Amino acid sequence: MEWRQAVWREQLIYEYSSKGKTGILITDDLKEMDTDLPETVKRKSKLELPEVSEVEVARHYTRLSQMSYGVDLGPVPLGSCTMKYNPKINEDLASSERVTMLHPLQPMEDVQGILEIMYDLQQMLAYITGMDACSLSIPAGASGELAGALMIKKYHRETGGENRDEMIIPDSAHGTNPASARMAGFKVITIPSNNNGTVDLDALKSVVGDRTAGIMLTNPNTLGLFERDILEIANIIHSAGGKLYYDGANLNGILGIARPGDMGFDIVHINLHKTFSTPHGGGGPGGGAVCAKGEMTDYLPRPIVRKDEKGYYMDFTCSKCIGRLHSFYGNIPVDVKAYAYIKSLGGEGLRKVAITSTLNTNYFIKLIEKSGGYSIPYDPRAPRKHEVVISAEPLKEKYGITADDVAKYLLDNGFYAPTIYFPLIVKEALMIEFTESETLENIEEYARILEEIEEIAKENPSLIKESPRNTAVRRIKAAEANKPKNIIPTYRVLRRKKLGVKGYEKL
Amino acid sequence: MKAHPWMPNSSPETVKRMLEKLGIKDPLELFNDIPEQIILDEQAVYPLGKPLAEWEVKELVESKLHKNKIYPPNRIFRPPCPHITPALVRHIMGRSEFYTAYTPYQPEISQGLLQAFFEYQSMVADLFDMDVVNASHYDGATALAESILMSFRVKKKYRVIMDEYIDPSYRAVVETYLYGIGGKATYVRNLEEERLKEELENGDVAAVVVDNPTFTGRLRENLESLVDITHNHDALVVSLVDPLSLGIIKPPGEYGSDIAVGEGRSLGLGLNYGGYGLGIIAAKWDSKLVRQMPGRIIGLGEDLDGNPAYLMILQTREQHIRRERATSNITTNEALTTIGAAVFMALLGRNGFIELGESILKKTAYLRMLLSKLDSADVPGEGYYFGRTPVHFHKSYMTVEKELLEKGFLPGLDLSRYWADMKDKALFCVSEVHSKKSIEELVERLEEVA
Ligand SMILES: Cc1ncc(COP(=O)(O)O)c(C=O)c1O
Repeated sequence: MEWRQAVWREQLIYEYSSKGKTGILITDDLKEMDTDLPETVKRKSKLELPEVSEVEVARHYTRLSQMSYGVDLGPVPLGSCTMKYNPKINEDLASSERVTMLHPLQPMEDVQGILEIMYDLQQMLAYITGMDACSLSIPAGASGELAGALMIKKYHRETGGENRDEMIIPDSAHGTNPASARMAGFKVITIPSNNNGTVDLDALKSVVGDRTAGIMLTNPNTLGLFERDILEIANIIHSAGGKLYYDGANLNGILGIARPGDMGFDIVHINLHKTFSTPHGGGGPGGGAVCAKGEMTDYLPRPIVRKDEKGYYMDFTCSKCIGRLHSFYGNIPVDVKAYAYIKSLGGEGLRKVAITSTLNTNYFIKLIEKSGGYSIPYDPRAPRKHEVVISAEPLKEKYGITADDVAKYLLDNGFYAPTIYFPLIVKEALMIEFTESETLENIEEYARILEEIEEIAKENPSLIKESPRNTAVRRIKAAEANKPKNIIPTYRVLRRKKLGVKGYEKL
Repeated sequence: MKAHPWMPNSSPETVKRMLEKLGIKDPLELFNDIPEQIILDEQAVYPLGKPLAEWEVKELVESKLHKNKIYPPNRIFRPPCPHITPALVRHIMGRSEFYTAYTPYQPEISQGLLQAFFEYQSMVADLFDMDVVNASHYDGATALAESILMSFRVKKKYRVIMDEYIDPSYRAVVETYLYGIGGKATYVRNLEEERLKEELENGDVAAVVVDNPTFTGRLRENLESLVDITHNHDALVVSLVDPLSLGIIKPPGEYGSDIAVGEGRSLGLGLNYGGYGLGIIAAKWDSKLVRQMPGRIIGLGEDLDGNPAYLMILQTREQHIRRERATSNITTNEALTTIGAAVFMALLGRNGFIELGESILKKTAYLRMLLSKLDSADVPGEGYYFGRTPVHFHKSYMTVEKELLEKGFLPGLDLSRYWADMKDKALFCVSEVHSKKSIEELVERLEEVA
């Protein structure tokens, strides 16, 4: 099958504009009222928005959608992103008017249904992670990380550990971990991975001390490897007075198999838009939960849904809590979708997710492990869980083909590329995660394309270097677009540059 | 359960084939590296229930959702106000080419997404009269919090001044973020100019937040003066605005704001029990500001053939490159809602924004006029109001509220929940979804009960 993306060469919506057109009819039943405003409050500058009809808006954005690629079009084996199928029933349920038209400040009696769903979701997520309580009042994973880091900070402040200002993070961690720790005011202490790609215990021991606030860990880590020494790591951190934070953006590899709570973690955040099947939306909205054990539950962000004899209610009371991270309660429709997902699969199905996604990863590894173009850094024989990171370094050394080139050639074959150049500890990294949603045939085809790249590279590497050809545009000159004189972040800046408006020559 | 429809390789036949290739007997062998004492057995997952068929899940979730009471939009007078949600917005957001996609890290195959984001940024820029807009933040409150952190980095100072009567949920979120980095907030009632100057004298203030309209709907008439005072003290102006007002109300760029933020929920997205939000962050064309902006920014460039092409630019600000030195930890944002907002802004266009703004302005004035005739309540404040008005009742607002709820209205927000000195004051909202008649009916009911 030859794959080709639509090429619409679609102009900007502004370029459809012509005077007097409108995309919406607004009626006026208050003609008698005037709309005069004084100069002090009134807009003076002309509003430079397009004037287009509804028909044109519909066509324009439908065409744009045809130049977008998601799970419903084909495989998206992006490591760390867990691009599984987004069940349609979940979309239907979350678009019920009894979700979309709910006002966030209705009396609790009016919203018992949604509160019950949120309460049950909190309970189920707590069970899945082995925690005691969860809060859904965060809008995405990184926000959950910030919540967790702030909880650790506040805990130490409350318990006489003001001087604990260091957060330990392995070098394989996702970039949000150090970024979140920093936003919570911590100094980031990076520790190297050992030859097996896991936490180096000696390195860990050498940095823990009375300034240790905690550690942020992902397990299985970003290489897809389970941290076998996790119980000892927990012991080292706890003995030093620190707390363990679990980056649970992706639980696919351990769902129903093992729980962070049993591993010794005190706080976990979860991405509903990964493990729990809610769509990524081209980058958001996501949804999340932050969960905690024991004394750490007091610090969870508010509100939390609770239940008493009168029914369900939002609890805003906060004595030790870190406060709020969203103006309301997070992305509610996402909660409904995640709830429906967990209910659909039940415990047995969730466990099957871990087993199937892990089986997919290791089956893929088997297909490529003998190839000369790619290597599997760190303990190649250890089973991977939800994902695997391979390296295109051999290809680069032999033929000058980089991870980026491999990615672009995959696009030409109708596969979304892997996550590339992450984690940072792998050179020419290709991070691949099929999830449980991918077919055997596609996994085999993907492996075949990787081999094909090596074959072509031997003969004619420029063929790979010139991809992609089948996408809406060819390779983009990113370095050019980022030069201060070329930065165009909005149509307005483009207009001003064209007109030669002073000050807009460069950023 | 043998095979599951969402897991193509879960049938016993396929599993067998895969295990053979792997040379193992049981997939659980792939978990042998997990310490035995923490491995769950099969029964451990039973409390999570049995798998349900699609119709069973539908029945289950709908039976719960059925317990939710919804009010018709024209009976909701409590902020955040409902607004029109054009069907096309929902339909475009429902295109699975968009919603099942990831962040466009591979731009060549994601031009549609990227162009839609670029158009969102562009239309917000025109609406706000600002130059650079990011590809979204979680909601208005987090957008404000991160803009304040941004101003701290630019100015290397760590205090912000806000109106004491700023939206209390925004205040709560900002304070959470400030706790992290050890920043401070000072509150000046109504941003009263003399008090503001006194606070600024200290020289340690990075930014002043100017909300317009204010939380209670008042349009400030001294915007330029607030900006001058702030700039004279080497601080930045962060404007917090209502995007729907900007067809007719002075946009942040016109009075010299350095950074502007807002909540985009009103751009066609609906209430959704408070989420999805859409955090808008905009900045003026100033390298010092833009390089400290949080979040993704989409730019226009070219491909190898010289065709226009969109891509993420200025990525060296972001966590995946800069890690602990990133301008923010934000990764997943509210991308799909920016597409919805782009559709909304395109539909409305130049004239629609003006007409919609005028409609809200007139309805606010009409509601205030009718309320001012009531014996049982006052309408505090002079000047111009947009979309909201405070109302001071002469009897217990708790009682009024209860009786209105019984009559099928969702009446104003009890302000004494947030400020002790606001006893029996409530904040009512009104928007284009309220017909003249529905406003009159609200006031009639208030007359009956108050
Ligand atoms: C391992 C890991 N941690 C954290 C995050 C951050 O989650 P979010 O994008 O929802 O903020 C991600 C994904 O982006 C991730 O893959």
